[in-house]
Amino acid sequence: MKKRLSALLMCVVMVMAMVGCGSGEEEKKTDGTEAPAVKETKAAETKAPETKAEETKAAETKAASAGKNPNFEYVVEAGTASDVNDYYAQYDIECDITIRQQGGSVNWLGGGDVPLPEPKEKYTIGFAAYTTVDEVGAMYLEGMQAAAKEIGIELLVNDANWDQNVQNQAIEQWILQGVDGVILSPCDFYGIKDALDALEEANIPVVSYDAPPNAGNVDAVVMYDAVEQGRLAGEALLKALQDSNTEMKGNIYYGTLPFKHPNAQTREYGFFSVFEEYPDVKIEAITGEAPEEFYSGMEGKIQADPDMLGAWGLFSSATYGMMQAIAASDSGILLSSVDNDRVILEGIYNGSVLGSTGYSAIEGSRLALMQMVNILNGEEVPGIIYQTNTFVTKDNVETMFEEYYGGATLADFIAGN
Amino acid sequence: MKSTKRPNFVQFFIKYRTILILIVLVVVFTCLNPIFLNSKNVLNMLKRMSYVALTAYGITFIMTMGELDLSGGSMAALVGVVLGTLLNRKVGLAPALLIVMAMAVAGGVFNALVSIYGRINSFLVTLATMNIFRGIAMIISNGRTIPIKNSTFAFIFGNGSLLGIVPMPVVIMVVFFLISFFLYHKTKLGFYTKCIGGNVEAAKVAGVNVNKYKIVVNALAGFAYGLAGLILAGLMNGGMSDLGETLSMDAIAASVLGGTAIAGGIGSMWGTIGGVLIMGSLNGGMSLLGAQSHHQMLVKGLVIIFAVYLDNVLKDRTVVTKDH
Repeated sequence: MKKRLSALLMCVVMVMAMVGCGSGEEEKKTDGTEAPAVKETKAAETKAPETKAEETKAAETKAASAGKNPNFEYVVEAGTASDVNDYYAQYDIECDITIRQQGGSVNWLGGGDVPLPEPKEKYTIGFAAYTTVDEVGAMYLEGMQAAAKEIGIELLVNDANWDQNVQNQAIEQWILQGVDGVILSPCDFYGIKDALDALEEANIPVVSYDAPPNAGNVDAVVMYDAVEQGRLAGEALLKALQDSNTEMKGNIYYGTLPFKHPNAQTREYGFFSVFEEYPDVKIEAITGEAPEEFYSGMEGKIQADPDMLGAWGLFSSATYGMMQAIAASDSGILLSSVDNDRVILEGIYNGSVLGSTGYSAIEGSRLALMQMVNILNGEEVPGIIYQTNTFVTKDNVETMFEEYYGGATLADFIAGN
Repeated sequence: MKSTKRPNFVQFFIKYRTILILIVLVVVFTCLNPIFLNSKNVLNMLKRMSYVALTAYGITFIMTMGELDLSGGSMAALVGVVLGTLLNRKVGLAPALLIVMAMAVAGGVFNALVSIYGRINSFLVTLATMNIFRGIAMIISNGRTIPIKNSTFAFIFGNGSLLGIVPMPVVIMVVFFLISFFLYHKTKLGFYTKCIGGNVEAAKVAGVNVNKYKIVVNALAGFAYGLAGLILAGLMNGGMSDLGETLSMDAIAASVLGGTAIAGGIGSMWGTIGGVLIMGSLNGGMSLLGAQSHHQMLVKGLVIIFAVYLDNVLKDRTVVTKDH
């Protein structure tokens, strides 16, 4: 009897848990978090274009149109369609999307200080994230919720946890719920196509952020130049090697994903391009997804190749695992990085990482919302906005920490607050 | 004798637990958001649970036999990757489908042979093949998504619909349910599967060729995983090595929720489809309510514990009844 009653009790607990989860999210939609602190812009830190893509962009650069956002630096003239397909084709990434907005392409020069437009009415916008539980994903969500609250947007949130089916289902449900627009970052770059088709059929505008989809149509894209991210990390490592008079002969190990991802492919291209003129430098991959995989991979390389030139973490988990392995071996190997998780910034501060290319998730989410509201207000917007990349070093790490984490300080983080 | 002569609410609940839980879920979700029962939402949810259902049919056979198979999701991913590769190399759709389905069946047979002749527990064998199949998929695809742009394939296994209403994956799910139901409940195969799961030694003594049926059941499960892989590839418009990572676990959970005993010997296809519908309703309903993936994981975990607990309660009740 006791067991049967327990079984019934468990049933009640589960139903309560389901209801609780649902209502919790309702609260999330409206509560949001504090608006991020406004920071100084870092336009001056934007590097001169060097890659093929950037050369193309630079060649197309036109003067900013009068009356437009002063933080826009046009790389494709306003009134012109943007094309991400050719950009990706250079890096062997198949991409076939149409960007509907014809407002050219721009570099964003304003940092986290993204002015949000006044919505003409109270819009309901779906925010479909591939994840919200890593540092970047959490900051995208936090930034988006704060921005939505700031201008009175009702935000529906879906965290698909890297499952494209879950994301597609949420988008299908939002269509039935009659959302005004959808901001999304795909879990899978091709698997999102059906959801994009359904949104197009329902005449619901779409803004993508982070890496854009590789199939389907969107209204506008907010992305970062991942080639530049890799290149900045490569240049920093090269400079550190040259400064220490190291002979440019040997191996550099980099941590990357075991599968192809557009951001990884483009970051690789940027990093590799820096070392093209050094034929005696070999760059070898350590693949994995979790920090412990990179820890063991890097540990093995340190043992097998103690004279390695340096290392590069292509994304945060790679950097973190490699950083720990280098620290454990006490080898002092130079480590460069991309991404700005707090532990990486702490590593830069304490000298275990020489620097990392960072970008602001808060900036990205505000830019995406700015684009969406402008589209819903009936305005023409740039087809692509490129976010700001900043190479974070010991000199600027405290400032950048505050920018990336909405006013929180690195000192507080290190102190465990 | 008391417990069998005087059925009370608890016994009624245990007997019809799958349908009762489903009804409760539908009522709760519909009250919280009426769109839940919108016909389009229902069809979309069915479409998204179709590949879990196909995998669960196969798992139900396997579990009824007293075995466990973790390799279904990896095989589904491998099927999509190989199909995409073949289609991109201009192999026709029909031969490509034949090749990948034969591969899926062969994968199931491989699991059975290693388990039988290696005398290795099926859980351990499929733990290994789960990695082997996914590893092959990653090697073939080099970690890339392999886009599939065949419109016939997309129609049959992806976003086509029967009479413009019922999504084709749902049609496949229903047709394969009928076949599985027939095989499980109306044929010697189903009967012997339950016998072997109930008491393998007794089955051997009774003259059942246990190894033969193990191979057949694993081949059938492989076929089901292959179909699930085709639907996943159809819905995703491509083959991906990381697809279906939670598929086997979801299918096992659905099968257990539907009353398939983990120890083997007991199960029902109605129960399994009921379990799948519960899992699908949970996913769809919680998504509609805006619950995030971590909340969904929590609830799905509770559901699995609940199902296993019920299974134990039911087993205890059966023992008590027999003792009386």
